[in-house]
Amino acid sequence: MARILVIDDEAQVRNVLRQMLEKAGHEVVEAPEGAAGLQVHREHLADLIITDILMPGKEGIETILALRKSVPKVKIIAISGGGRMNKVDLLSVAQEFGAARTLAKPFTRQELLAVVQEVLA
Amino acid sequence: MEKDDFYRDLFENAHDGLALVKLDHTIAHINRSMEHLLGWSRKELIGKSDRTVLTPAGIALAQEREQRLRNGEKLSPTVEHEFLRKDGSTIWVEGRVRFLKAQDGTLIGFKGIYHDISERKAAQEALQQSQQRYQTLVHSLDGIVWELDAATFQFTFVSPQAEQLLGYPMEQWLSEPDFWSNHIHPEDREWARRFCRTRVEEQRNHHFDYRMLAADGRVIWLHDQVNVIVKNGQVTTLCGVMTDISERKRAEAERRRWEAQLLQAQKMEALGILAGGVAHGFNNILTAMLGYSELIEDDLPENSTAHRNLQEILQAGQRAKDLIQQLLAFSRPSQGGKRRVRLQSIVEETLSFLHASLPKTVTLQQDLACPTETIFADPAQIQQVVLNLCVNGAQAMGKRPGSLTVELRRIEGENARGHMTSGMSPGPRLRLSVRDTGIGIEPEILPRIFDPFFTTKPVGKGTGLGLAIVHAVVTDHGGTVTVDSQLGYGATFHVSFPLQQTADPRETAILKSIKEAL
Repeated sequence: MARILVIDDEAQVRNVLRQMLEKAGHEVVEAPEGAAGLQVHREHLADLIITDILMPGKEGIETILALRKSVPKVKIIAISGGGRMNKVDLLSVAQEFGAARTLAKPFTRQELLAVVQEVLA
Repeated sequence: MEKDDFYRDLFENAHDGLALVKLDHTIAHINRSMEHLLGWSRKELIGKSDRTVLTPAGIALAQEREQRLRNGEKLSPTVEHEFLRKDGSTIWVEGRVRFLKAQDGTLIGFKGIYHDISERKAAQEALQQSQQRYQTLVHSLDGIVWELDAATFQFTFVSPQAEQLLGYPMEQWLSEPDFWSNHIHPEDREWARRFCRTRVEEQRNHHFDYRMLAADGRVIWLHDQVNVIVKNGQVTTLCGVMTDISERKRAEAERRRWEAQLLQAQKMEALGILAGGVAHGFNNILTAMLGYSELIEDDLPENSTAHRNLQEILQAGQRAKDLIQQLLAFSRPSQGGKRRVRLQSIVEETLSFLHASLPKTVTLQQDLACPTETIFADPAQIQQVVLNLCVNGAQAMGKRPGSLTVELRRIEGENARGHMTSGMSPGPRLRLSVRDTGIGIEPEILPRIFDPFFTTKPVGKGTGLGLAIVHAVVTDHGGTVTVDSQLGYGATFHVSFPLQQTADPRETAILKSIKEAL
């Protein structure tokens, strides 16, 4: 089982992901945005980071780049509710910048756990 | 007073100029008025030749008359010519000339009675000049100058431009009863006649734009400026100028079309941004709602009412998710998913699984003629376009039997001109046409059919996003979408994409920038 860091500005989303992951036997730590996420990661050294993209403070792509730089081998899953910024698909960009997999919100527990398992494998 | 004195006095004081001239042209006598007319005194003139006071034209006229007299012709006693005055100036006169004969009938000379007609001549000349000027003006005007009898509405005059502009001979304009209204465009005839007749009844000048049909069938836009001429309280005549404004009207229509397209593009852009924002927020909310529902599910006995109710929540959530996915079609950039694809393969694939879901009453016909041509596109989105157009077409036919024809053609830039719209690149294109034999589209709603959430389907039967997605996807792919429809005769949607002949520079640039960033 793994230690997973969930970074999302929505407390309800963080909480539901925590419960799903914990029920699957993982340990979960949380952060509401990128900078706090990096801090939590330094303290807890997560095996996997699930990060939202559009967040106040340090947003997802920036967080992924910072993580890639400091801990190149960390596994990242990017999640997003979509939206558009300069006609660029944020999840595609996240993947190009180092996210192992992406998940478009909303996703089912089954989809989440399958992706987590795949990335951790 | 003696008789001789009476005649002398009469001669001397006559208002008109009087002259007696001998056969050898010697002036025998002139009166005071004649002295005044010619500027010579009788002392100076008597005994001199009448050529002294004639201009060369006057001499020629005199010679011609003498010749005709010798030929035995009867001459009109009235002549008009100029006299040469002492000061060298000339004066127009009208004269009555009678020949004088001796008692034996021999011709001995003539007497002439003259009066000044300079003013009349000047007026005539001015009139002639004015007519000349008017004619030049009428001929050079870039329009048809016309005059019409207000009682019969028949033309009494049209300038030569009438024939040039509309191709009907002038005689037809002037002789055909009701020529004007006969040749107005059928769509304008009633209102134009009514408008003009009402203004005439009100005795008001007016102007209006309408279309006329030229002899060769062309439609000509005219601006008609009408002056109503009233005599004794009655309108007798209408006159005016018709100007060809076809070019201006075409330019206006073109401008309106561009403005509408720009407006549509701006509207879609704004909606895209809005949809993107809404979708992002909703997806986060749905993540929580669906996620918590799934967690609750773990704690509920499978056959309980609460479990069944929860399933309903999950299903509703799924529907909300689908709706958001459609909304995102406006804002979801597809750059990442675009690649060089064979459009025909996508169409064939889509039609193969669509076929099964179409009602039995619909016959699907395929006429695809571009097996190798490629476009730069996101296959999933193109599939969505084909699907939406076909489903829409099938729904337009309702339960009535009908056919759905899907056609794929390569069109060259020139052929595509009819559908050329803003943002469309020139060059060869692939055109996908989906034609149904359904109820057609009412002209009034045509401008709105691509608007998001616009639907003619009953509440709950359509989201109003199908054609909006088609428009958004096609535009995002540098393509255009147009529709031809006549109420009662079905509709044809044409979607065209630029043909991809070589590797897309955008594709190369995006890959390069991502690699550099990494």
